Amino acid sequence: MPDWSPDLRPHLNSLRLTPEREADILEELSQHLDERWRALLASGESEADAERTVRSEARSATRLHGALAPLRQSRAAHAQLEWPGSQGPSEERLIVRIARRCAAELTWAWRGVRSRGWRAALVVALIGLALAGNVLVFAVADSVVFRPVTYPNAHELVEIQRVRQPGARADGFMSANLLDTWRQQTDLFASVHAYLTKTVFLVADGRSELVTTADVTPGLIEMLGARPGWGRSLTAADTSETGTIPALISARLARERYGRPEGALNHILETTAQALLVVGVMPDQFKFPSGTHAIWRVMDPRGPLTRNFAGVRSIARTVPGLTTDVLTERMAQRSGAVGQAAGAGEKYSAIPGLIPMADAGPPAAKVRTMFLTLVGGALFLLLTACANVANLEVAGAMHRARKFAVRLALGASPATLGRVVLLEGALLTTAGVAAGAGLAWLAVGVVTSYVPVGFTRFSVNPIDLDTRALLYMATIAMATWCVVSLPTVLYASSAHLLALLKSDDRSAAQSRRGAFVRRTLTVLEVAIAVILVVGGLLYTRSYLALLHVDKGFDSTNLAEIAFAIPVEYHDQPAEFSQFADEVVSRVRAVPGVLAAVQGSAPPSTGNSPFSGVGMEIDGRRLDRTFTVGDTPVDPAYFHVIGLTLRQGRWLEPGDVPTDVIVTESFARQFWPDGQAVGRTFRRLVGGNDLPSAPTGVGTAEGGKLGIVITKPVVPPSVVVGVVSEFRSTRPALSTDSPDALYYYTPSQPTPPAPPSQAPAVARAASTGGSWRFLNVTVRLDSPERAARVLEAARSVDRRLRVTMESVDAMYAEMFGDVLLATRITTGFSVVAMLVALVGIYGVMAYLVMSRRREIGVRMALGARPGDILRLVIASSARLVLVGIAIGTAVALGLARWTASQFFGVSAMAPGSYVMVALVVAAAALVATWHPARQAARVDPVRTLRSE
Amino acid sequence: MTDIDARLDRELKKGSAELIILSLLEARARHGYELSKLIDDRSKGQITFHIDSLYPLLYRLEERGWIAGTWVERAGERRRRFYKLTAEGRRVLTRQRKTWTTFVAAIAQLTGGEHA
Repeated sequence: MPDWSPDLRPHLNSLRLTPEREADILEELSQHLDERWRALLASGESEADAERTVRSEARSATRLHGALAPLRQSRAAHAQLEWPGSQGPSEERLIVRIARRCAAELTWAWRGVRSRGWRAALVVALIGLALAGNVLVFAVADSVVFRPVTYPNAHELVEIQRVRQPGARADGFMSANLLDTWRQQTDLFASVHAYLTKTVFLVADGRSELVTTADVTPGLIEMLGARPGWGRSLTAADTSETGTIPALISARLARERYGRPEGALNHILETTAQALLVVGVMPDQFKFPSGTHAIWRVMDPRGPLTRNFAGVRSIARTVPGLTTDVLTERMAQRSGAVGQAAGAGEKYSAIPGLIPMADAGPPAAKVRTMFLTLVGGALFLLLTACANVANLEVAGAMHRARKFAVRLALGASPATLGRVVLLEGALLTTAGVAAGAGLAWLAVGVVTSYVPVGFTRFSVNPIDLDTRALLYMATIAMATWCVVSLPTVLYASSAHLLALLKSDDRSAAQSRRGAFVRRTLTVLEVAIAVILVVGGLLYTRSYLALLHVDKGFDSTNLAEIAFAIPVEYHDQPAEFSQFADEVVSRVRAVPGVLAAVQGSAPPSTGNSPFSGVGMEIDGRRLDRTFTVGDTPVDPAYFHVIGLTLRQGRWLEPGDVPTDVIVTESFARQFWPDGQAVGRTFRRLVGGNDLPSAPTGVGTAEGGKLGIVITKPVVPPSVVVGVVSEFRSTRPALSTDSPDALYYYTPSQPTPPAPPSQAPAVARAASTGGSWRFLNVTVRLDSPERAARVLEAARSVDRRLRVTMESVDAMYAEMFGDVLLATRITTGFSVVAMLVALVGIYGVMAYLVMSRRREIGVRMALGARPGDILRLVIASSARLVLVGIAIGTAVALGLARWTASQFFGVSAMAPGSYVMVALVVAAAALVATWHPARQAARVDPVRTLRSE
Repeated sequence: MTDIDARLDRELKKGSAELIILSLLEARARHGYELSKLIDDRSKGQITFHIDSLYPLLYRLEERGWIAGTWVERAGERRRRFYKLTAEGRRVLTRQRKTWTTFVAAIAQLTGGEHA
């Protein structure tokens, strides 16, 4: 018997039948052909003739494929799916039936998704892009602006602060006695703890590494609601430990040193002072008091770790339900009694203050407005993306309604169809969310690697992929899906089958309201893209302008070398002086070093400018406070930097520490008459009446926390000269803090004494926590010399941490917030642009599809492909031009409002707007090109015949 | 046969195909070739079903639950797929038969020539 399958199989190809099903059909049809062959033989035909006839019949059965095709989907479903109401085999267990039904519905849904073709891909791309944009903006805004503190019930955490007089600066430091007395106020506070921020130099392989540290009382970490991820927490018994100090370290530090977190437990960490015993490791997400702290040492508020500090800082958790107003009132009432009980001599009023992390820090405040705008933009983008999804879905709704109607007629229940539609939505949304999460993950990685440290240092909430944001966005996307798709099912189940089958796509496409909605959406999308692209461009131009701003001196190849020196090293004045000289001479000896001098390069990092500094000018105390920075410098310093003398003289060898040179802005601020030389001033630390001098010993937060103060009243400084201005802060942005005022003192042969005044033999008893900077400014002949110079500096004392940074890089970091804004708005505008282009493409492609007949008629009447191309492009151009006009108008309005955010570029300059309009128009043309070409290729004969 | 004849024939066949199959299966279960042979014989060659029209129709009816196909094995023979009428199919057949009779009668009345 001949084998007929080679003749039959081609008809079954591409039907995507299961192998069993295909074999069944092949067998059945082959048997049919066998019978036919036998009948022909019986009628007297030869075997060869009979075979030829049957083969020819089999081959000509071309309608087989077409007739089987509509069956293939429902057939598979029918084979496995039991419609509600039909009786399944009784022996089949319920769970198996449900599983089968789910699998069948999922298969259906998957086929539904596949049948959408390019529309499905667009939906996934739209959801993905919009989600990624939103999640990224939320991730950064949540961390930097919205929710820097993530401790449980963070609103109950306060710092007990003291103000000596109304309006004065609050002081966070208090004595151990005072802390204990506040601790007894159990009706106000559930617990009160103390901490200090320090810096510890870990020593390994002979090198010291600066690690920001917090000394905490036992129980503080538990009060915050945290606990170690590995090992144990700090206990009261730990405070009486001698020899080593029990401490917790961060998981990151543990991984760096020991490979894995648990590997650090019970290890001894050598420091330049007392060694640490690691008793526990804190998980990555724990941050206190800021993100930079990596070691938490156990501290007794009366123990040695508080030596040299003006007390401890407090952090307290209030009893639940206590409002800030009540707390403030009661604390003020009890201040006197508590102070008396604690034996504090000074009078003060206690107030609840924000804990250090509650405020995301000054850099974040600058970008708050930008983030709020971006969050608004992100939500809008999500809405437009959802609208685009809706747009694409509505386009195919009529076709699907017909399909649903047929399925309903075949016995499927509306509930089943509803479930299948939801499953389709779930599949598309899941794919979109997966794509969005992937994109957002990449984007968050890129952004976090570029976010300036200043933004995240104070935030306890890391910038990461927020699952809540992702879920929230996915829910919105899914809800959009339901709103758009389920009505199709309802429509199909209520409408008359025949009426539905008769209707065609055009009736949906050409409904006036539908067309209006789609066009409005496209216009809005283009407008949003224009606004964001303008924003991105203005920020980019601002940043570029800031990078090229006149610094007031030549920063070419100028760099600063900074040594962080624990007070335990080079603690004898003469030794330190010798060390500094050695560094300068070794650096100078490196070929290519044009000049090297002790002193920090502007913007000053050596002795950070202090804010809130009170000033006494010519013996008269001023009412307000200032931001003042001072730098001890070598007389040659000014020549190396390139500042010019405006009044008086340069510093000379032999000048006393009270001889100072001030900058022009300093002179102008205090002596507006222009006669600064010979006048005197004194700094009053903290704006209070304690004229004293910071010793140059700082702590982690640039000296702002736990600064060590020496009591002797310093004599007033005398201005000997005024030098030209240099730019130390970001210019011309209204959100910026006022410029710091700088003055220079002659560097003295002997450095400030270490705070403990301890002789060398007492070094071993030092508790760490203090260091000095040695800054050397160098000018090189080319940037390539940097590595050699750094190596030369390092060779002087290999134990020390040395860093080198170019002055240009220091300035660039100062503009970090603008750079961040630039990156985010630019990235975001790209996403908005893509969404808009997808929108334009979708609308135009749909327009072409729905007007195919009209285009066919036009072509039949003599229109050429070029005319059709122009017709489609003109339709698109109208939408795009309206969008550009609206976007430009809104951007101009916003620019007037946000003009202060930009520098060196006018927010109203027409150039930017024209450029953006051209770019958007060109991109829109690209998006329209494909549909327009499709339209131009319409075959009038075929189109009209199919009608 | 003219073009119009051919088209009418096709349309008629299309409209009556389901009824024909259901009717032939009313008495007993039959396999595909048997059905095509029966149709050919009983219509004296006026109506023929090739494999590309017969089997898709059988599958469609099966899908609707009007007929049920099962593989039947007999000793010494190849297994064959037999189709039988389901209860639902029987109901559909009754309904279609009635509609058809009415339709044919109406057509006959309309096309049989006018009486005075």
